[in-house]
Amino acid sequence: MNDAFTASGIVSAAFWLTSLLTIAAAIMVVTLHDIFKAAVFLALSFVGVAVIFFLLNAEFVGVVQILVYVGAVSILIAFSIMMISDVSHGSQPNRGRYVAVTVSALVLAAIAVVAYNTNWTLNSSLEDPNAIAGLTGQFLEEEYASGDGRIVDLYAGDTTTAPSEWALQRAQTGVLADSTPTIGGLLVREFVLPFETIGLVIVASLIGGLALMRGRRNEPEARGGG
Amino acid sequence: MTLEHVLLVSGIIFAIGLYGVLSRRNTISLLMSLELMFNAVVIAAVAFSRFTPPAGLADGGIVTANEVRAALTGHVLAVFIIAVAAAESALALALIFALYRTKETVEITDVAEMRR
Amino acid sequence: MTDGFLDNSLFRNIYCYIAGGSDGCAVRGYDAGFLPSGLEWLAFAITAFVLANIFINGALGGVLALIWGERRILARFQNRVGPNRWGPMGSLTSVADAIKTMFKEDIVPDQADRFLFNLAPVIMVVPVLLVFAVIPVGIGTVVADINVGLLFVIAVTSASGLAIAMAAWSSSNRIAIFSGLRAVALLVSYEIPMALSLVGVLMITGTLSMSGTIAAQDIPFIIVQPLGFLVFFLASLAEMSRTPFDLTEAESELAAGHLNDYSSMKFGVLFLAEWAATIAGAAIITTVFLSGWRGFEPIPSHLWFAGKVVAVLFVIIWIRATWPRLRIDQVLNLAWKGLFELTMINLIVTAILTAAMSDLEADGSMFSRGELLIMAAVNWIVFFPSVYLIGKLLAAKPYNKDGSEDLPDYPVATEQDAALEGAAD
Repeated sequence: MNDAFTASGIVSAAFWLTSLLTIAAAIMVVTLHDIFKAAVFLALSFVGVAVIFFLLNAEFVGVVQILVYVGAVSILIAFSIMMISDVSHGSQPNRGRYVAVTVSALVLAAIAVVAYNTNWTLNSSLEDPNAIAGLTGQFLEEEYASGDGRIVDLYAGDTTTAPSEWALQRAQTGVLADSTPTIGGLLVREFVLPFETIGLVIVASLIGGLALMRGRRNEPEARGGG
Repeated sequence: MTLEHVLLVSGIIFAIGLYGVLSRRNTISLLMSLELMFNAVVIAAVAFSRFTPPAGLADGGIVTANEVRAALTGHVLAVFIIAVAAAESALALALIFALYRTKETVEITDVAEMRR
Repeated sequence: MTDGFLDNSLFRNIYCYIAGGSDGCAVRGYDAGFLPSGLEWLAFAITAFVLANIFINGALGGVLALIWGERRILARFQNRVGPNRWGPMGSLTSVADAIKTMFKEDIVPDQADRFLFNLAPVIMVVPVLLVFAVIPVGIGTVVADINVGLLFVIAVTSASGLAIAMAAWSSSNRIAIFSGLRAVALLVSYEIPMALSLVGVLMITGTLSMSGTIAAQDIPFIIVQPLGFLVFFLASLAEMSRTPFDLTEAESELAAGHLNDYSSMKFGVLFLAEWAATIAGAAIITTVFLSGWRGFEPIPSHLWFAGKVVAVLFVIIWIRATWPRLRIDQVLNLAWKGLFELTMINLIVTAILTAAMSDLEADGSMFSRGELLIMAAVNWIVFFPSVYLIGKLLAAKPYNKDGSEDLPDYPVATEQDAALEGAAD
């Protein structure tokens, strides 16, 4: 490639930058005294996580993350802060602050040790274009093209079809290939039972929220004095 | 960017959320920290999905559609977690409203009747 | 990295004009550009900058034109002349207004939270401009043809609620907070019918990408999906807080709502974001329901797109000139008791139709013109009774159910009062 700056370099730089931003925003969320500002930083860290998803080739999950978290959850939180307006106390730490620091540091250490000491299967091939292409649905498109139900490896297999220029590019960038139809198929075929259960959970929480908020409406101050 | 790096970032965010849950008194702050922890878990799920290539690549180089689907299971798990977290936060905010209505406070340390 | 972008003809044409020694451009038959080989990263940066500038400035120019056009058209509706002094037919009025806004004094209220107060306009304007990146404005003329375009548009526009909440909260002004509460309630409610009304389109096209949606529209989806169009149109009117739903800025109650404390360029940016959101909404409606840039031959595709957007904007202005503003309870009732049911009806009918017609042996995603026509016929048959039914259900009830006249709580002068007053004199 003469277009010298490679995919992995840019993606790595973007990943570390986004991670730093996300972590900084998350720290602000748990330390800020002003709770509304904390909610804004929470939205910022949600956006950062969404960008990390994009960098991990999970654009569907990334967009869903923005839609649900930035568009709904953080707005709901901001809304309730505005409604409750009991923010004069702010968000104060409790007495167990140093215990909390210790516990979370220990958990982080455990996660780091496990992450770095496990021999993850096949993680060496993460720069392998085939792997990336396989994860982003490239092979499925080839399956439709060949029509025999098998997916032909574009690089190493006994290729019946020569890899097209387009396919090679897609395999190398992997960013814009389409994994969304596969996820959709998974949701309504293999995982249809959990999918329906989630629907049930959401309906239950909706009804529960309504029941909680219905409350008593006969307080005298509800009618504005005339 | 390797799997370890992504897991490390995910772990850091999880630890920050855990610290928030353990150390804050305001229930809305608790909810926000919980959402951070959910997000960390979702990052881990997507990272495993991204960095674990279909098994067929290791031997012979033939990848079947089923293996690709298996590799994308992490994304499906992520979508499920996000959906559950959204339902959970809506319910939690309703609970906070109810708490504020009856107790006029949103501090979790003030709600300690069951302890006595 | 660049090779993925080189699939995009708009990007490619600029990049290959600049960059020398790029293999990707050579493969596609471009001559080497004027930059020496090895500076591809610079060419990449310049291209990105130029593209962003074209689209953002296009949006800004569109906003200026829209403000002028709206004032002229509203004046016609109200039997006035409208702005007519500066430029031909007053067309430079909004430019003059923009310059005037820039030179006003920038005031931040004493009680305001400075950080959030200054951040809110930025957060307001960024999502709106992001929307323009995924909308194809002509054949192959799109900044980023991402494969989750429709979802991206819904996701990104939903972020504006947070900006409004920030602007309202940071002003620490009661009127602004009322406006913010109204805006957030409205945005959250209308997001649901807005997203669900697009699902019918999704079932027919089988893709989330904008260009795929346009490619599937042998017949514009306004004909195939009348219910979906109605709901989406009303919901996007609410999302951009245009007239029947503009209670966040109801002048008589809330002055300018969350914009109350803003002045100078910050006000300008917030104002611009709102109007750009209107254009973005019209562009999305055009792309999803009016077959985007498609049209017949001698007229270029960009003109088709622009013409359709202008037509949608005209309808929006027409509605502003015609309809009164709704109350907050009416607005929320319409979302939850009206539009939500309509989308459900639309979803069920479309699901049955697509399941009945899709030929699983063929590629399954595209429907032919004849099948689309059958769908359109069924959908129109469903359209009228369901809209009539929901309208009946939502119709305003008499003040008391038994029909007896009950005076409201606030004091109202009656004829007896007037008579008594007269007697007292």
